[in-house]
Amino acid sequence: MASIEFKNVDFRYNNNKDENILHNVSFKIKEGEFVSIIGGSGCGKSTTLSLLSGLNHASGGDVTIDGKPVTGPGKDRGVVFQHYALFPWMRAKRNVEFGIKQVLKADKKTISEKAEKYLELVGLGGKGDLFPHQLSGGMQQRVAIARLLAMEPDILLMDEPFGAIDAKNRVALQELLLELLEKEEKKRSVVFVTHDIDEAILLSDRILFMRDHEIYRDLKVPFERPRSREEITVSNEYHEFRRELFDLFYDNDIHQQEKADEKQTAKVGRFSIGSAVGAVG
Amino acid sequence: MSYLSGKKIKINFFLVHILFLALLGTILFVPDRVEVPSHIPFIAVTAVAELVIIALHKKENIRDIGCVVFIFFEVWELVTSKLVRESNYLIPSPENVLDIYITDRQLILQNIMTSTGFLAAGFITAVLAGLLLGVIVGWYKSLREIFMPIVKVITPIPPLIYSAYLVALLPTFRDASVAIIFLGVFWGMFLSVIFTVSSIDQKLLDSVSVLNLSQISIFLHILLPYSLPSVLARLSNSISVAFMVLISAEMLGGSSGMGWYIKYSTIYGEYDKTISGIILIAVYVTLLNVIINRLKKVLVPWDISAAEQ
Ligand SMILES: Nc1ncnc2c1ncn2[C@@H]1O[C@H](COP(=O)(O)OP(=O)(O)OP(=O)(O)O)[C@@H](O)[C@H]1O
Ligand SMILES: [Mg+2]
Repeated sequence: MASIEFKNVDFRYNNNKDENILHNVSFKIKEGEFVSIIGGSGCGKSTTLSLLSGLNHASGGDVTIDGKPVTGPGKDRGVVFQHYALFPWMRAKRNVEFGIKQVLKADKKTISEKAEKYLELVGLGGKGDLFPHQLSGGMQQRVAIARLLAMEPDILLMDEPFGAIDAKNRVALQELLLELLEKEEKKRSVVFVTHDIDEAILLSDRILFMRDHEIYRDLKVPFERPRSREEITVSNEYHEFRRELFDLFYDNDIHQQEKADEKQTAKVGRFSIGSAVGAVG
Repeated sequence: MSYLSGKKIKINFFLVHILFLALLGTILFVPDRVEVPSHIPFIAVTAVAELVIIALHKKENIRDIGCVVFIFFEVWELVTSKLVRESNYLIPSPENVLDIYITDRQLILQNIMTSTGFLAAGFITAVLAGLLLGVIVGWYKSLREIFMPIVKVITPIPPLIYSAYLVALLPTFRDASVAIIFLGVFWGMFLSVIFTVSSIDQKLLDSVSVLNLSQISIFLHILLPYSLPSVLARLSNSISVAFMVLISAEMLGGSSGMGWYIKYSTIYGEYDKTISGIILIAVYVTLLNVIINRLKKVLVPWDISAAEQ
């Protein structure tokens, strides 16, 4: 059970009431669906996730999960942040165990084995006894991913989870995620922020492209599940779809440039009027 | 350049050992002009110092420090027993000072125990109370807004100001001493923990929020370990304050303890006891600091700044 709905959501940060960070954002995510959010830096992707995780609250409109409004964080949702968010005083394995303990009442041994298993899965078997400061940035991120997966939430909210991870481990983690989601009976919904177009296509059912505080495009990924990287990347469809997304980004760049230019002209215009008035005076 | 620095190291290398031998020679072969107790304790102390220098030879500066110490010992020995005609009671010889540790050992031990008891009671309760209350007050904004201004006014008051009043107020000198130490340590600790907790990183708070921790879990697993490094960083400073306050209180109104011992021997003109007491306090505080540094490594192995020390 985990369907998500944004209905006409507006959002402004408390410390900056003038700027609408999200404007009239609406979308639905069905139970078991994997949705990626892409878009330029600062367009509001992390903010959208924070409304879902309950860290921030919509200034207008509704954010609901299974029809119930989101009022705060909940055990049904798990988050991996864009920045690593491990507890520095816990060893890697303890960080994972600590997450598990919040959702699962079980004996020490079960929890320990589970933590061990997920660390192994993200390629960190044997590193469980290290403190976060003894791990590289990418390794810390993988521990955070292991913690999220081990907590087995209904909804996974992942903000550029593989951003800091090297190419080899990145591919392994993408595959791991696909595998975990597909082989389970319980259907989990995933909202996944990424800057990597290929990653978005490989993993998601739908891709939301954000621009100017809005969902600018809502695209269905034209591949069935289960899918494999090898299969889809050789098809023509893949390259067409990829092309479409690239064009969106490219248009986006032009669009941003135009907006910047507009602002510039507006300023120059005002300035020249001002100086003209000054000259007359 | 390398030639020069190599040469410099060599000179240094031998100098400290030459000074040691010179000191030994002075003690053993230069006749005493005045009567002093046995030389053996002083020779033993000097030999231990030399052994420490040899054991720690890898540490930079240890030979330089050794040179200064041996020169100091040499001068002290010369001016108090080898070169003077009459012993000056204001400046006792090293032999006399060391002799106190043998003849007066029972009284010294007893007083150290008393001081340690007071110190432990006041210091440990103050640190724990500062940590626990600081975490609670620092976490809840409404409490913080009430207590922060009050604490800021109280913290700078020198704790000795209370001492005379507390001695009058509390039934025993022990209670008064413990209370004074407590007040000397608590407020600073309290304020620092409040500050640490209230300036906790937003990213950390976000990950705490999404894990849905209970309040108790937040205190136990997040806020306490989070503030521990800053508490431990303050500890050496706090223990010095605690010790200073205690010694002063003992000198003012005590009838036992190291502060009393030193004051008492000074009043009676037994300056060898005074100096032996002062040296003992120096050694004692140094040992406490060594223990605190060990404690840091054991308690906060994740703290990068502590691990590097
Ligand atoms: N805590 C905050 N207070 C005020 N404004 C904020 C805050 N966090 C983000 N913003 C603003 O909100 C906008 C959207 O930020 P957000 O973090 O959602 O972007 P993003 O799409 O995740 O970007 P990126 O891809 O760089 O992570 C930005 O313009 C940013 O300046
Ligand atoms: Mg972001």
